[in-house]
Amino acid sequence: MSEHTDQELLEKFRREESRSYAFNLLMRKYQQRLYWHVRRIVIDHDDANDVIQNVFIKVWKSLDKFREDSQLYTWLYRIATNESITFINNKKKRFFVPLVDVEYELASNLDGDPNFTGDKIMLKLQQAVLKLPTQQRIIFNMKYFDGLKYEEIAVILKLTTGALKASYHHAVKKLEKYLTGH
Amino acid sequence: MKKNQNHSAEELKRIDDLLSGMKNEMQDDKTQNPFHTPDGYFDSLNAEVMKKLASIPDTESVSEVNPFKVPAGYFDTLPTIIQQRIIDIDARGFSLSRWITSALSRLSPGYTVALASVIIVAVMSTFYLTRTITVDYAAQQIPESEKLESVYLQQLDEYVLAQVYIEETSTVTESQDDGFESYLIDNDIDLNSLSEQL
Repeated sequence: MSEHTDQELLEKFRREESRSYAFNLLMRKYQQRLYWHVRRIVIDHDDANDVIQNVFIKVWKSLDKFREDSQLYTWLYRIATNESITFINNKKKRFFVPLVDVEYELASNLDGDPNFTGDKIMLKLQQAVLKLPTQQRIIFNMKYFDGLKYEEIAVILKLTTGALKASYHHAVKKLEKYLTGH
Repeated sequence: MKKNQNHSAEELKRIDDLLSGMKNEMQDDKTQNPFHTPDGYFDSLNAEVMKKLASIPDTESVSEVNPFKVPAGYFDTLPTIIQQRIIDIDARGFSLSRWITSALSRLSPGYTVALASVIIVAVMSTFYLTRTITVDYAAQQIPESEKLESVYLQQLDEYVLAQVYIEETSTVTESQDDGFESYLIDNDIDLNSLSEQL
């Protein structure tokens, strides 16, 4: 089956009779990319599962309002990013002791996570990435793992490319320092 | 004094000669280095560098490897799970606006406008006809002085006023007439002579 273009999916979605079918196709087209993006932010599979479901429910509710000023996948990425950040922030609020660091907890859980199959180097890299500030971490993931261009990330995160490049550069420097120092 | 000056000049010349000699020595022998390394440093440097390199992820290949995994068949079932959740949410919360939007979208634009106009007129009429008017009676009280000066009372027809007065006082007058009649009979007073006197 050939993959539908975004335009075709949107046209089908706007017709009442093919709305659900179009949405199903849209989910099948983007679910993996968005899931892995969310997963790299929230780390845990169950958390990522909750977030990705909420992301698609939001998409269902607001796809009518999508004005096509940007590309569909950047719009989807933005919703997924915002949902993930909200999830992480809510998780931080749930800890009564403010010193408890969610990222630190995630990094330590990663070691025994049955859903993490990376070798020692990969584990070390992920733990290092988790030490970055949330926004730097998201930028690094999008550039390094998702292979997005600076221009695309700028649209998704509503930042300038200059700020993104600086942020990515700082992230890489911090990671190098961490990896060579441990 | 002159002796002292000669002595200083000799010292400076000696230092100058010494520095020139050191400079020449360093230029002749490039291996000369004031810094030193631990014994056997260069023998183990290669191995140290290789060890460090092994611990740094290869940026070209690592980004393509995904260390995370999901339960088997997760992506096959995820769309169905999400669509079921959407159905449940829609069933729980019946949205009137969504129903109206959906119903209107099935109609042609002309009918939609007509139907919308009818609904607006019906809603406005209902609001107008069932509106509640509250009157503050205390604020509506007219002072006595104002009543007396009222143009309305001055413009009333005297005949109408007289009629109202007669109607209100007729029963009293009839009963009073009976009393007068009895009084005149009892005292033997002639009604005609009384009229003449009046």
